[in-house]
Amino acid sequence: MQAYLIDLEKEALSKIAAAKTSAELDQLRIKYLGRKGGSLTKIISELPAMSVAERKTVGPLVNQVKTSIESALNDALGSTNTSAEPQLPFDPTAPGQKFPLGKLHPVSQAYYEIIEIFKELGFSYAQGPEVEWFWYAFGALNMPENHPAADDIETFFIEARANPKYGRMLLRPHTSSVQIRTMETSQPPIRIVAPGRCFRPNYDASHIPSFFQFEGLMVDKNLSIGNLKAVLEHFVKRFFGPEIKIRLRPHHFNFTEPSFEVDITCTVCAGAGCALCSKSGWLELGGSGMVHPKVLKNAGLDPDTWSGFAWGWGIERCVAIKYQIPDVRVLYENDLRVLEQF
Amino acid sequence: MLAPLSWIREYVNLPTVDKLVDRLNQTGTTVAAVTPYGEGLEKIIVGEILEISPHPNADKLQLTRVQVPGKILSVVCGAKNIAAGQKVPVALVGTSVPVGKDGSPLKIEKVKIRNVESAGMLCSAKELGLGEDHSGILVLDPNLKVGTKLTTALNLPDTVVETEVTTNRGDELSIYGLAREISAVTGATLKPLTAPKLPTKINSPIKLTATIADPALCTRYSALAISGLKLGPSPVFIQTRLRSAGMRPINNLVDITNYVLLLTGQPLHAFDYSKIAEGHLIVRESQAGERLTTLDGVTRQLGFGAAVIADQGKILGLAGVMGGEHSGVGELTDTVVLESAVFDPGVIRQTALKYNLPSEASFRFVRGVDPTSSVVALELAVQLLAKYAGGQVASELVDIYPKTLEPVKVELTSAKMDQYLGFKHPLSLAASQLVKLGFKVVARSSSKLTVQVPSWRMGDVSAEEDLIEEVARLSGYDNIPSSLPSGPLMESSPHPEIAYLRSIKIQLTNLGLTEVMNFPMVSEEMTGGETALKLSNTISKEWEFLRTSLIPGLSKTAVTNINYGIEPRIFEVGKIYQPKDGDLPYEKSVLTLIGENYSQVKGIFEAICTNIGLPSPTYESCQSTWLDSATSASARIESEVVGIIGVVSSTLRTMAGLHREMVVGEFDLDLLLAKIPTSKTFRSISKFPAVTEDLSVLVANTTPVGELVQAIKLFTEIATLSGVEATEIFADDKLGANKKSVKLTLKFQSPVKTLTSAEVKADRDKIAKFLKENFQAKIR
Repeated sequence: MQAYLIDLEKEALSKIAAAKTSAELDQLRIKYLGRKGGSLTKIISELPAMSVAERKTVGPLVNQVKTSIESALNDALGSTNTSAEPQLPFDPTAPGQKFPLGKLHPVSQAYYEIIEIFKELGFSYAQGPEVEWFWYAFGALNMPENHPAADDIETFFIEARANPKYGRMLLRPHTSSVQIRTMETSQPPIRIVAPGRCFRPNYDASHIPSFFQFEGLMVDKNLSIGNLKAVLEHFVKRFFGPEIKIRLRPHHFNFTEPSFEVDITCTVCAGAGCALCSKSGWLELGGSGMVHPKVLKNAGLDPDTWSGFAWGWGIERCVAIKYQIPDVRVLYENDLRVLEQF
Repeated sequence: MLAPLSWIREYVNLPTVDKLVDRLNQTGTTVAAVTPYGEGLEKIIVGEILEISPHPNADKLQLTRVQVPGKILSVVCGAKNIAAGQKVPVALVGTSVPVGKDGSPLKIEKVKIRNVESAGMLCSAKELGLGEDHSGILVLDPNLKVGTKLTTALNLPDTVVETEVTTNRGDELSIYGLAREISAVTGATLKPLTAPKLPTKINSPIKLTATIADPALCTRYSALAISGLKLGPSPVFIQTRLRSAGMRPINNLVDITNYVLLLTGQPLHAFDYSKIAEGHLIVRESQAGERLTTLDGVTRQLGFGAAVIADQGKILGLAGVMGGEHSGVGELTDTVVLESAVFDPGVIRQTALKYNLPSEASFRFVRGVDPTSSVVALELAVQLLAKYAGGQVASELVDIYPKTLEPVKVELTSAKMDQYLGFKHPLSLAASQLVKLGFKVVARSSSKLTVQVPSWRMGDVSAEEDLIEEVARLSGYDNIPSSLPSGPLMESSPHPEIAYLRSIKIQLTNLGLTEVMNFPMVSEEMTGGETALKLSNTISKEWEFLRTSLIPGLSKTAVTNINYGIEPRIFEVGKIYQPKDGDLPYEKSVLTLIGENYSQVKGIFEAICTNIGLPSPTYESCQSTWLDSATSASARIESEVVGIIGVVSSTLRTMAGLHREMVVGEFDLDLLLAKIPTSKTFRSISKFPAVTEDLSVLVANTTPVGELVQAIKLFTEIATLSGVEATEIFADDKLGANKKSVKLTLKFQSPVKTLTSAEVKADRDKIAKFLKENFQAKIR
């Protein structure tokens, strides 16, 4: 039976190939697949009568042969139709079939890439609320109310009753609040990366009122500035390219001590000096530092036992550097011709 | 702060500008700009105005005769401040000045102005590029010789560095403070800042006393009276320094107080002594209902809590922020009280913010002023006022310093320092670095140092980590070797947002949709009247509330792209914010997407559900804020509403400027992600062929197709039915009124045998009968 089926298929395929008109093809369809008396149809109708073993081998084969003949018929029918038209020579440059393809927003792409890069060093993903209390956004980070440091970080406040314990409700101006929330709820050693939305009342070519930062925090015993450098170097090499170098410039943030601004070698001129880096050879990426002992204490950890380092950098800033985008606002204009470039 | 390097050089030797800038940047003092000051003035010379006469043809112009070497020039001048005998900068014909009317250099030519010849130009500070002042000609020192180069007369050109100082380093907000920092970071020797001591004995001193009513407002209050003042212009070198530091010269008294402020960082304020009742000053808190007209002429309702300087009867000024008009120094003033005080940073910050009065003084008070230098600042001012304004000390020194600063001592251990630095740093080296910064080593052992913090760093340095930062920044972070941290591995479980949400987003892009992102802040209109959180200090009406749906924003994005001629196949994932009483809002993650029609959006949604393993959703009509209620539905999974799909309402269309029909779906990701099954179990596939049969039925057009399909699925009499789908739905006049035709594609398959056509026909007939009985269906 198997051999018969295989012969049947061969015969049918060669006849189909030889057929020149759609009428001939119709004849062949009736011959093999016709509802009454088609060769294959007959075999199918006999299947129930076969032994179980025979059915198991023949059944699938019948189906294969049927599909093969059907598709040969359909293909041949297609080409006989076009053969009525003048025959066109093969043109390798004729357009391929178009498939619609969407893209993730470049900020989303960076968001996931950042998580992946830090995962390689054992940092897990953490989140915190975007609408926050003053305590988590400032107080616990060693920035009491009325401190000039709070002026440096302009903040949107929410019209709502203040919490007696945690103070005013606001839109977090940085992801650093996630440091406190994480340390409160988990025991060291801690390694997290927390990308998320932040808000500040600014709008110009390098500032938008809602933007993303990614916070990193590691808490363990005996951490050093060198450890922080190595972790950040890993990130910049993976995100911007293996040739990129970093430098730390001393800075001041209330929640880290020592504090740094982290610069990377310019991605355009590789440090030689160009318009993008204002001839300095360096691009400022963002702040970082060793977690201030008061912050550890505020989050319930003993600073004599634990040390930590942290950073909080802008995702749009990273995206703008990576793709040489001169004005970050373009990322939120949502012009698909822009978004589909990335 | 703008710091002219020529001034700093008086206190410390400087390396080249490039080296200096590099070193400052690497040690934490950011140099924002380096600007040449007084460049291109080599050809400008000093001339003397011999005589002035009115211009015959113009009221606003004057004719001057100006002596320059070898000749007398006739120059037309429009400035009002000129007088015969003045020495002024002259640009001769053929030379040029750096800043003409249009901002670019101006070449001086022989011209006729209103028919009178003018051969040269008398220059203002602005035209010379020395300041913003163009109200008059720059009047120079009368002792200068005619023909002297202006650059020699003013000690130009100079270089000005603009530093950005972090909030903890108020001590760097002065020429001397910056010189001190430079000496520490370059190793150069710092020269002392000296001033002659105040006279110990004053003949018949006038009365000057003060009280600090509230010690929380004021750390130290020093003051003294100066009489015999003759107000006039300050000497040119002071004017030049003020201008190069970005300040505008006013008169000798004001300029000298500003000069001392720039030099020492200690703000000074002068009151007219005659306006102070009984020569007694009080530092106190303002009371509700009190008012003050400040120097800018604005009358302010003070309210409670600002620090003020007052006498018995009235308020004289807002402490550390702005003086009062009444007690201000006028042309007739000959005796002033010079105040050199240190006010509380928090109080000054609040006052400056509340009245929107930022000033050089308040900027420094907020960042902390060294209380030990208030008297030194007075000494410097007294010296300059005596020399340049005829002023003499007329009262005893008032110096109230209720709580002398206790010295702060901090320990630095080798162990912690080496841990942070990642290498062994000799303690002796750390000690010498700290001493350079003004710290005093008070005790030392082999493993630890104890240092006393200098008075100007007390607000900043109080812990061991602070000392490590000082040592580290002077040693250079570049010298710290990178080394990846070691330590125990931590268990972590994948977060659903990473494990699933990302794959949902990628599925959507594979279906041809592009992700967009909008700001979560929306206009009031875009809240659709739903309860939404409101920002109390927004910067735009467009960003006043937190969104409660992504639909309005995404619809606007769609319109933007439609207007560009691009089909908006888009989605957005983001938070919506549902207010909770007395607590932070519920931040719900939602997915919103746009499609051409209902079927497309539903199809995309179901593709996602299938892919992440969720059961098929069910649908029913629903009402929602942004959708047309006649053509929208809610989707349920396991009896919970997980989303809505529908045609956008006409309100939203108008709001978004949309001129065509559009379908949008919004889905609750928190619910969907929570429903994803955590495990899957293998289901074996039947080895026997499946048979597909179509069954076309005619039913009432109000019968939901979903119910028809669901009913067949639940019709348990047919064991071999393995799938039902409605594959064609249409209405036609020939079918009869209120009828529709539904083609149901039925799939039969048995796990144990190949079905015969008779068996399949019997099952199909059973279903047909069932539909006839339950849905009044007519089989076509």
